[in-house]
Amino acid sequence: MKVLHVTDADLPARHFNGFDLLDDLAGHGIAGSQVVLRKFSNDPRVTTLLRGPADEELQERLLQVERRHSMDGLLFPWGRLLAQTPEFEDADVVHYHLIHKHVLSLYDIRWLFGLKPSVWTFHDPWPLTGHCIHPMESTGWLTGCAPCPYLRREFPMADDRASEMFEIKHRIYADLDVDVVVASPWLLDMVRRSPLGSTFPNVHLIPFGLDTRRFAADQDKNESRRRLGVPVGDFVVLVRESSWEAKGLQHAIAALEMRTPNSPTTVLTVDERGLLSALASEYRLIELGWVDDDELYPLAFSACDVFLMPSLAESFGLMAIEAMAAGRPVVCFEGTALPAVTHAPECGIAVPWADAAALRAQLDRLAADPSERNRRGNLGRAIVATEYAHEHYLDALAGLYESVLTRHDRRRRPAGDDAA
Amino acid sequence: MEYEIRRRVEEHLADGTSTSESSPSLDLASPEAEAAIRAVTGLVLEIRGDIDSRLARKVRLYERTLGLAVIPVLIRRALIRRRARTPLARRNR
Repeated sequence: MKVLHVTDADLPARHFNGFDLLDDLAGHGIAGSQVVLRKFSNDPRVTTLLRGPADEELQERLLQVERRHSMDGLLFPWGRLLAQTPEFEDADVVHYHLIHKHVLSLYDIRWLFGLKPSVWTFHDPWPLTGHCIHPMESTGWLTGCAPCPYLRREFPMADDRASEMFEIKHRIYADLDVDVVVASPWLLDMVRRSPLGSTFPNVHLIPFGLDTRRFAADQDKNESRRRLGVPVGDFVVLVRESSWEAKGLQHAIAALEMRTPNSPTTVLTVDERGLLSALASEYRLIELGWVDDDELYPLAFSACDVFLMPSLAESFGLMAIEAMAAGRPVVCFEGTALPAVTHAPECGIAVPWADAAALRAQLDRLAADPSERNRRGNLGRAIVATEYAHEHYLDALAGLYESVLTRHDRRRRPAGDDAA
Repeated sequence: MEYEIRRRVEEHLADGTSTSESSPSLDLASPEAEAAIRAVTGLVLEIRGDIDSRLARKVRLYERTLGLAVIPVLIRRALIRRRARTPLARRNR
């Protein structure tokens, strides 16, 4: 079977945008290819739709037009070119990933989904909203997004056209022939409650899988700390240092600066740098920046005692299961996918949404109780090994592709063929 | 309706300026707007086709010698030629 993955870029988000599946699903007899707007790898199986600076310029101008006129995913013409690629023509199944990142026009998806058996992974709630990726505390997505009080949220609008975009999606989604995949029970619940999501008859819960060998259970904490320059005797809190509002860094800062720690504490971060200067006087800061290195990245989890993940919105939370695979407890907010993904309260620890004081109370408790950290860490490893095993994920996807293809073949076959 | 949206898109593609403050409000969810936006998508590909077939060599040359700033000018030139060929544009001249 040939499966084409369509998304915005190949290497960023490769663990869940289809790129890694090109190799990973080969063992299941699936030949993969990928069509993207922008290609960063040298993989010959990846084809790019933007063919140089002139197309980049065009794309940028289209983005400006959409933002100024408060449209969201209507003008991008790349779907029409996608359908002309040999990869699309050859594919048995097309799997769409981050297509809302200015890859396709919503007006083209009905046509595209009609051309090939199609699977669409909802990586976030955008398909269910008038414009935003994460509605967070807003409940407008339940009633049509009128009015939208959060126009500046990604993807921002100049004027409030959220309800019009909601209506456009509602019209397009009617009788759409696509199988939808979500990775968490939280997002599945949103799909079922949404006036937009409830129009999809085939919705599948397939949690992302993790290659646990990358996060070896017996990874030596002290050795990891030495390699990263982290003091061996400190209590170490790992945080994702991101300026994206949804990642909730401001609440991590508020929790940590609430009072002086009881013992020497290091704040270890990945992603961006320079956002935690407020903590410099009370904490040792070690900022690793964006870590692409597959060997270095797991060391950050191995070196920490606790992974603080104060996301205000998270549709799955791959980093949470990476921490669990490394045997580290996760502290997060309620109201996101994380409590269910981390099996709170037994394994993960979830506190009320946006409550920095509650985060701090849990950090202090875990700092004082190594046995609880170990208990939760060991449970996390066991959960990842059973629930988020990479092979389970691949089996589930391969099974889905097979069932989608079979259903479409049956539909195309003349009625008399079934009797034969 | 269709012309209004096409005009706005063309203006933005040409010089990046906004006319939203002075233009009448459009209901994006209306069937007329859908038809117009679909037509614009086709227009965008036509513009891209012009760039590919006629201006590609010039774009490459300018990229090498002057940097990327010249590309909007080339797109604008392609649009002006296209406008001059369309009956609607001829009527409005």
